[in-house]
Amino acid sequence: MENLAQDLLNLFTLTNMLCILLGTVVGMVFGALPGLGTVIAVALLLPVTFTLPPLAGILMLLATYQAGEYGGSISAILLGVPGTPQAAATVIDGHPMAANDSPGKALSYSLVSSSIGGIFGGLVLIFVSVPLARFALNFGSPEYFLLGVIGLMAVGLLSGRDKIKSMISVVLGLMAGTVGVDTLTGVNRATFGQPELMDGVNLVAFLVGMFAISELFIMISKGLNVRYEADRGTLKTGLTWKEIKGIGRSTTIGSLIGAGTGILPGIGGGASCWFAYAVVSKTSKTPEAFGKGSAEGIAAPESSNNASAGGALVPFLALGIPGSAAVAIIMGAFIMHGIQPGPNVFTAERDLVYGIFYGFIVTTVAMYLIGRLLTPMFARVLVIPNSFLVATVLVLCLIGIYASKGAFFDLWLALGIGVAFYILKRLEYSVSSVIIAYVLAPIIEENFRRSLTLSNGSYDIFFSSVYSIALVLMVVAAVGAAIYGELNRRRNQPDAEPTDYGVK
Amino acid sequence: MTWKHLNSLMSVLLIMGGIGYTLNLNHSASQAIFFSGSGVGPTYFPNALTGILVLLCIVTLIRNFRDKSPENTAMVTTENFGYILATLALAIAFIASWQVFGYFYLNVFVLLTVLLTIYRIEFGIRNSSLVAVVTSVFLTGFLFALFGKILEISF
Repeated sequence: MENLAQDLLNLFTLTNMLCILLGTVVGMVFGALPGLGTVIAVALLLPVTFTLPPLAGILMLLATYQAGEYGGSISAILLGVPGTPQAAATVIDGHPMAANDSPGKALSYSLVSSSIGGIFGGLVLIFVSVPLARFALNFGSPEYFLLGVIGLMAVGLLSGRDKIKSMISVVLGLMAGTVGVDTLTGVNRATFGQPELMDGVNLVAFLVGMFAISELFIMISKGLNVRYEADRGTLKTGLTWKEIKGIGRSTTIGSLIGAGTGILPGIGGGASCWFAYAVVSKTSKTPEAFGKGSAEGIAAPESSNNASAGGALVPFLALGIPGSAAVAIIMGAFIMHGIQPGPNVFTAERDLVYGIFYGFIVTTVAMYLIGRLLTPMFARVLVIPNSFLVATVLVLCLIGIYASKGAFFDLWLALGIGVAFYILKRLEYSVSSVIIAYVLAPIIEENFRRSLTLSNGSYDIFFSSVYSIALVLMVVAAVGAAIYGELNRRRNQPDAEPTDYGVK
Repeated sequence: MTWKHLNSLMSVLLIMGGIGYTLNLNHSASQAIFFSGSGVGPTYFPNALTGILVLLCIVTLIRNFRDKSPENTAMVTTENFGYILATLALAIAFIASWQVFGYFYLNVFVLLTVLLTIYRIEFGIRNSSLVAVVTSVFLTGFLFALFGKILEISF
């Protein structure tokens, strides 16, 4: 009880609350704007966390992540264009409800179910990650190496349309992660004579180039002066108790599915919202209402994508394995502050971890309150043409990159990365695989080398404990499931196009 | 250029990049003792990655060569390609000017003004340049107030 009081005192500081407020507003605006999205918002705010205490910076990114999940539904409902991939399923019922009934009512269903899903995800984070981290204390270097491989397998094989290109993306991310001075021997690796690369590829330049600058080129090619017409008739948000009860079942199912799939690396909110929508529509008492403006059809995907945000933090905090691009960027904030997520962080940085636990719930409350107050304002942001957005975001990108280290080299690097990834994205390479592999590279390599040093070069060490054997079996199962899934997809839907979850 | 050509070109570039990476890696690590007792030194993992990259790119090349679908043989089209090139050129000019001459806020103002004028040129040069100047003054002022005054970050 004493610990709880101290944790809450650490959490409720002015800096933390202002950071949550800023993150929520930025997340909602970027989530609402089609083409920008949560990942870009988190990437752009990453340099700001340099100047902040670790908890405040991480809470700001978490608030952005949470609010972006709801923000995506604003454009999905008002424009019929999802602001984020996680809001794609919301369009099916959200837009018809806005057109036929009331846009404010549709937004209210989205906000309430997102908030309930967010709280549920936060509770899962609190109650699952502690026992998982305790269990993970039994792991040694071989197990950590295998865990990293599982994370990569899940992301590389489950995301993206083209599995080979996803695997190439994973390798590219790992290669980028090995650039710089080798921490075990002090040897320079692939720095091409550039002293700026001795500390590795600057995370901020890498992220902003890959996600933001490349996305700006995509926005330009989609049209610069397209002006969306939003139905902004009645945007006042609010639901009666009876209406909230009406979405209770779908919100519960959505939250359970979202938190469950969020825990599994590589699946995330993009897939979970469709899964929740399918389950709720098939088990509903009124299936005929789906697709025509059903409240349940809004609540299921929205609760699911916010619950998946909390779920995705479980393997990240307990094992150090990020499951999505946004979480990988948040891991970047940890690394920049010299903190390595994983089971040891629960003892080494106890205040930070519990601050994140309770802070995650606070970010959800902030999302609800700001959503109630400011949704009509965010809806007006939707009419800003891409010409203004591209110019402004480009300048913010360049400022953010320079502010991170004060090096012009990073600006040139980010621009080059932006151009390269614009082409790679068009060729359907998976950017989320690249970034997750990049942040996992040191964990995988160091534990691989430590394992082989311990065993004098014998690979038997990866089969030396029950845990490592179980993890090897999981790797085999992940590969088998991916091959089976791919064969099944080709047999049933030869033209189906899975998306690069969490990125576009 | 067709998608097939672009795909092949990208695979070849990735192979070349991978080889360049591994050559540079082995050269820079050559002065060090890079094989520990276990045989796993600092070049072991990156070299293995290069091998996997080259292998996967060759698979992509073969698969792409055999793919004769209409999507793969279609021409690559990029809407607003001129605007993308203009944006890239202006970003390069902005960074170079900032690096050589300094004057960050002046450079920001010029970049925003030129970008917005070009982006909105369909509304007429007078209209677009007027809107561009007004927007740039406002945005540059906002950035100066935020970074220069409140956060006290100097560029």
